[in-house]
Amino acid sequence: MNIQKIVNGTTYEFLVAGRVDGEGANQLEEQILLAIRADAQIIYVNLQQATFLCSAGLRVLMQYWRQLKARQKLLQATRPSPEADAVLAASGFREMLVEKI
Amino acid sequence: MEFFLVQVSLTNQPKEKQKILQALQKFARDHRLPDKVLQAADLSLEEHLTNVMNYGFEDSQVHEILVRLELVDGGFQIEVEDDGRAFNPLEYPEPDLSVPLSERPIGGLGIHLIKSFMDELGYRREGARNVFQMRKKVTSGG
Repeated sequence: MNIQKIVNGTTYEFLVAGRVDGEGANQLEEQILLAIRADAQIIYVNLQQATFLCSAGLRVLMQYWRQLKARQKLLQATRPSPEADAVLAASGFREMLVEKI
Repeated sequence: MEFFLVQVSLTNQPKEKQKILQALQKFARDHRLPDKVLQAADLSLEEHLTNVMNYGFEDSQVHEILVRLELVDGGFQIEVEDDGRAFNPLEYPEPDLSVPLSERPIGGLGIHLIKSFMDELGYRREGARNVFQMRKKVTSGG
């Protein structure tokens, strides 16, 4: 999995490409934690190029969505690929976690 | 030569999942499985093997996990066999998806995803081994 980071002030966007499996979820979590430590106010996780998403990736998204929400900050998944979207929908995450465009 | 049954032997190390992923992708190519079947199988194997590797063994020894990929009666079947503690995934409680995200327990979605993406599931205990079957119908539309 590859993660490209775009920073604009306190807004972070992570462009995730490839498999968000157990190992990929750990990589994503590390990047999110670094952003939180750098005082990110908004974090977007762009899943357009994510070819695979499993429950480990969902756990990371949910955990930090919740943590940031409690601090009046924001984490959202954006532009999910069909593969990622199917998993988000099946888990009931899509309505709450995915940015409405 | 095409094989309609492929068996792959793994150990209970997370990096071993790469081996079954490669075998699954080759099997899907050889048998022209629709993308949706491959995606469902890939996800379900990842979830089940993660559960077996992370929670199935009470010691730190190396254990063998056998994965069989097979075409059976118009369906694609995956069978996973391990010698971990007895665990029937079908008895694992379903998550309540109506609970707001902010109140849901973190985790516990893997088995739910397997149930959502595969068409038929089965479990049996054979001696000291768990055998978990996952089956996906193969149609031209996936």
